[in-house]
Amino acid sequence: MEEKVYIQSLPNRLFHWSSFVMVTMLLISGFYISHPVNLGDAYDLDIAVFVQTAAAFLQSGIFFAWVYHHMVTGAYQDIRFRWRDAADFRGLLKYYFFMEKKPPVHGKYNAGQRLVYTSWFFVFIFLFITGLILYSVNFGYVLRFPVAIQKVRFYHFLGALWFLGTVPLHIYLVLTEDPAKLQAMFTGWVRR
Amino acid sequence: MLTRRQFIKTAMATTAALQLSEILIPHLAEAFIGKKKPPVIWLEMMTCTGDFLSVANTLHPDMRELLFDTIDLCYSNTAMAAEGDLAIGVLKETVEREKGEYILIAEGTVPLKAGGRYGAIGHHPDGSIFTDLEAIRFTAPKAKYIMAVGTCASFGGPYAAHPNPSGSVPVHKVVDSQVINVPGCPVHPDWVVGTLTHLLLYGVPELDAFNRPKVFFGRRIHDWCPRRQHFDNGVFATDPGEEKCTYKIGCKGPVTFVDCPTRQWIGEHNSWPVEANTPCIGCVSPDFPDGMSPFYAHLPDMNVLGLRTTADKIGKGVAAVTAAGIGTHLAASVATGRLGTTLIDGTRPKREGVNRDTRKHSKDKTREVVFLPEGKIKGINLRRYHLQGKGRIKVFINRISFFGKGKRR
Repeated sequence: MEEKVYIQSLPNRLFHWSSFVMVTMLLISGFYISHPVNLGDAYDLDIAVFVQTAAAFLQSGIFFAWVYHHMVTGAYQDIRFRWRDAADFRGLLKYYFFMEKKPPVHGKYNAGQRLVYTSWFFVFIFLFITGLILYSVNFGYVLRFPVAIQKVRFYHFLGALWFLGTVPLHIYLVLTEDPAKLQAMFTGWVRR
Repeated sequence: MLTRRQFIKTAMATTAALQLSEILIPHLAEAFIGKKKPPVIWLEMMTCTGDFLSVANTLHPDMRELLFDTIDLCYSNTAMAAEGDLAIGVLKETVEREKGEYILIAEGTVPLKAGGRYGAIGHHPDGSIFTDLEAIRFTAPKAKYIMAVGTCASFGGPYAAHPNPSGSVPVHKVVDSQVINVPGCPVHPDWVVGTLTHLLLYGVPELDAFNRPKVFFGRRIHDWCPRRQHFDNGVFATDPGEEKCTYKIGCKGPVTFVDCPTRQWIGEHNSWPVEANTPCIGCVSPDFPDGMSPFYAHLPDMNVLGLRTTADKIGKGVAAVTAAGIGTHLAASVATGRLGTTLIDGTRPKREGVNRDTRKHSKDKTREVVFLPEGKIKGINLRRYHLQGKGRIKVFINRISFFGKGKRR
């Protein structure tokens, strides 16, 4: 009989796919706001700004629910980057650069995944704060502390670039390195 | 008598046609009937005098009304006839005579390097240099109110821009008491006269986090821009001079808080940058001009390893590096045959399943479980992946340790 292993719980899968939709929309609308091109009436800046704002609030909700879920269930232990992962990360890089035949053995996620997911956690919080500041200026300068909005705008852009660089990497690696994990992200199960 | 609320309403509703409106003047005059006109010292430090000249262009009230009916301008480098010892004497005398009574209007930055010798207002009777730093420290403590007029005095502006050879700082950096910032490069006369009027009639106006009066600097240009519809509909100018939204050629309207779209430039010669088909450069912003440049790009440049580069180039660079990295790796994976192996291996049932290997690279021989078969899931792992109603609190307490040694399997 074929044995199956349950590696992605339902909440995890829901978090993943809802974030996928939101982050995709955020990236597209965000870079469109930064570099508007003429797409006719199909997609204009007012639509992009609306999508960006709406998706940002939804994604923030998803993010904080995700954080709560990981705290309560202890699943953050699978994701956070630990110092001892640094050595594994070296081995993983060697594997990615074809200097090793096999990657280091790992738990649920490998060292590279842990590094990227942990960075996403911090970068998202950064984008959340800078995004809120940028949203607040819709109501005039209502902040109680002096902030140069132009700088905030620039750092928000840099934060988004981190996602622009790592999200394609994430997709590429899951497709080529471990498609079974992608399957598990739909069904929850992998075959043993 | 005009109430404060009515004043704010008038000042905010003021359009180009109305300016600060002539209805203000009688009230202003009325407020000082039988009283001494409030003394004002206008101190010009490291400045191009643009702010004074701009204020001299005020229409309602005009400069004559302002000087003869409203205020008593005791000292002004540009306006006064006296010079040399006579002028400096007037300054010293006014500060002593009107102690705690006068309004100090400071224009320009205060240079600090070389003991402040980069900027001076004149000489002492003994021939020694009377620096800007000395002048502001002499006049500010005894002033009733201090207004920093123009972006230089408020935030540093062009005179404190990189590389700032004179070590210039804005007024609030060298003054202990509250400074009301009225920025602008140059400042709009209405902002100065309006703030001055508010000070005379009702005291300190409501200020934002940058100490700018909210009545003029409360709303963002972008929110009441006459070309907002062009922005929303994606009608963008690609060169200055086109009658479209100037966002793509670097308009700083979305990050600039001021009432230019309705206030417009002085009186009957109505226009303002966007209406003149050039982008707003954000001259009232605290990081003008360094943070606002380049004026024709909407994000600032960045210094990468000593090279000045634009935000756009960084973005394109990140996209290119990601694409090139993935492309190269994909090609190499195909060439070495790894791709075929991982694709087939990735979906094939694994015999070894649970424990694949030891931790070879970290020299750590402890075995880590890769996958746990469903039948064997129990204890902590069961709770981790199967959230049950009852166990939640307990699990949370068990698992609260963040960066310490978590309970590993």
